[in-house]
Amino acid sequence: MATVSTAASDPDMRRVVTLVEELLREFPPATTDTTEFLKAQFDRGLAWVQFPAGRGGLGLPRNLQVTVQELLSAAGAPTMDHYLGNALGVGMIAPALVRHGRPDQWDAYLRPMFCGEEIWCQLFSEPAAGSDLSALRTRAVLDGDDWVINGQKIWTTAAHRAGRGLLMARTGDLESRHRGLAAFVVDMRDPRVDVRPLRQIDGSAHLNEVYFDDLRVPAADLIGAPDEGWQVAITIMMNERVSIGGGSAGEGSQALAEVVEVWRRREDRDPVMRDRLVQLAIKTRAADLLNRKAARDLAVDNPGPEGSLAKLIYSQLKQGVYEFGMDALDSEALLFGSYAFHHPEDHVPDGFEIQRHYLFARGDSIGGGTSEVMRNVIGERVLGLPKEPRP
Amino acid sequence: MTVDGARLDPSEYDELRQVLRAFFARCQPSEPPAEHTPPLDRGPWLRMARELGVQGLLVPERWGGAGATLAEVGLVFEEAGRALHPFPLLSTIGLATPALLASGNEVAMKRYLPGIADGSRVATLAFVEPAGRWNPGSYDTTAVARADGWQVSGVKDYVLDGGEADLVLVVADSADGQVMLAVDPRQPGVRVIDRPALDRSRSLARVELEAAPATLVAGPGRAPEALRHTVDTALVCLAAEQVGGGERCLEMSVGHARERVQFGRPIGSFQAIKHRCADMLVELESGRALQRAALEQVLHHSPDRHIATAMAKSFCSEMFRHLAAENIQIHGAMGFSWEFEAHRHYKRATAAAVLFGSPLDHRLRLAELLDY
Repeated sequence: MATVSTAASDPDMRRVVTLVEELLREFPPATTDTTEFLKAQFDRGLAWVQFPAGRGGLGLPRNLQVTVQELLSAAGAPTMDHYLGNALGVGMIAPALVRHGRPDQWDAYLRPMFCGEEIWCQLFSEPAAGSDLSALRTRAVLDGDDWVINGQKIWTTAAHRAGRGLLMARTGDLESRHRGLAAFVVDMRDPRVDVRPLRQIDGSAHLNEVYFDDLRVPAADLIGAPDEGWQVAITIMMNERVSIGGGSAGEGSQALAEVVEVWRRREDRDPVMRDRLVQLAIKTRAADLLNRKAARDLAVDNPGPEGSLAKLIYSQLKQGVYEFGMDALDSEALLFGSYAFHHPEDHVPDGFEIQRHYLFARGDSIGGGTSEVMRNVIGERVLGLPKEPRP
Repeated sequence: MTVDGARLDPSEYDELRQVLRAFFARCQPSEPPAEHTPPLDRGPWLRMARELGVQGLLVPERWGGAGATLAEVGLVFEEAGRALHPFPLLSTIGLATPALLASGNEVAMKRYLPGIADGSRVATLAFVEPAGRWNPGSYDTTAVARADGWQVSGVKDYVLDGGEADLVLVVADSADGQVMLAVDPRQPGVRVIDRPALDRSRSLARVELEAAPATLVAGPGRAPEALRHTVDTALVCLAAEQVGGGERCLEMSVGHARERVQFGRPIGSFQAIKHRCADMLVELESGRALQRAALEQVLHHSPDRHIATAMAKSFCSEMFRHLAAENIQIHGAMGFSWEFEAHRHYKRATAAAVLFGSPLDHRLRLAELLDY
């Protein structure tokens, strides 16, 4: 259903299409090393077309990136599958660096991030600051040319393999809430950073706790002003909720395909189950259409709250799809492979993927903003409903 | 404003939308009809044709229309749906016009389309029978070709705007297969009986035919495909109307939730209401996305269009009904009141869900089409 034709007359679109064709010609995806391909993609400004020229972009409208992804994906080039290892960096942190950081920071971080040489993590949540991020307590105190960081983060995705982290810390007093926060780039390999795995529902360790014990961060690694952290966090969270994968089949379609396979293995055609599956297929189509639209509608670099819609829909949808998958498995749903500790990147499919995805899908409506927070954002920022009065 | 030739540039949609919204706002019935669906007020209907060219949107220019596309028609239905319009739009431009166009019958098009475009002719399609099966199939109504023309006999039911129609296109089975015929309801052998409709904004009739004189519009080689295409088009139009209705219900709910104060604060600041509204938006936008995709697929005659229209109709039916129900709930006792608009949307939504096949009907068909 890919329709690139809508704006084929647009000169920006033509330029992007030509650049992608050149990239594919000079670096045939089938015979090019992934990192080398991504470096070439970055150097041609096709990493994030909305970024400045020379910094992985072309200064073009962000929605043209969807076209880039569609064309690359159709040519078998590394796209979403690669980014998944560094989705936080490429999809969320990079736009915040460009919006709030300095050109020297762009030059230092963007290229290694995009080609996967440096994995990033996002150090936001704390034990006492989950949905209410403005309650965070990790301290940053200026000492000479360094900021000294002390505190604890939790639920940090990919911290165990990250080289860099984007840290949200408090520069003001606790009462300053969202006004007294700053964003820093931290070196995750520093011995003053202690990363400890946290296991999730399926035994895997996607998430971590991260402890900072007098970590010294050079003042140059502050992103924006010492009180600009909240704005940086908003930029990151808005990007978090918009998938950059407009060209791929879509998260929902993949989950649906898995359970359709299970359904087709069954010998019966129970009408109630069958109708549930059709309902899920309809919702999947709707979610993928909306996600595509959200990706296309993006302004230059400030996704709006509409991304919350896609996040809310996908999390509910995936839970419904895998619940159906379990019901379709019937007695087989009683079985599970291994709950042994492992990092997600070391996971080897063991024939119990529906069960694993079913369990893990519970986290979809929690991570990256709970569904309740999403509904608040939609209610207040899209529909304009009044905020809840503070006690 | 007028629409001339082919598809509008999307930048012009806003203007068209404004014009339609203003027009439909003037045509709001003041009082909800109690005893029966009120007869069509031909004045506004004629003005809609002359001033806005709505009835002629799909009609080619040589027959007095604008030669526009289903995209513009979809917009009309969205706006009409918002306004709970009282017009025979779904019958005339959602069913009869696409049926005539799909027939490929130049004589019939030349004869009937100009009158549709100028507002002088209300037209409908009678295909469903008392059994109430909306999915095109075989019919008990029979048509016979005689030396002096066709004759058609049988009973059609749930005929949209049958009581207002100046032209009834009848689908019937003949010795050689399915045919589509034009019937003048004022001819002998035709009896049109108004049905008491749950949704008083849209009239339904039963049409009894006893050797009624008829004119062939599409023969067996053409009629089944023409009917299928017509139903796909009507599904997209109805889904657009449901999106418009859903949009209006959400708008009313949000407006009320912002204004209404209880326990010292606007009720929209309570998560119980706010989250309900957020979920309504999610449903509305999902429905809109499915409806727009279906429209594009029918417009481009894409191979998956039957899947897309069935998905859109199934989802938008449940979406509109749910949003109309939530709208009543959020408005409290006022939402349940006769004088207030909310119950009319709920009735429209309830009837629209059944029209052209229930959500379950469409999903059963989808299960086959998707090979589940």
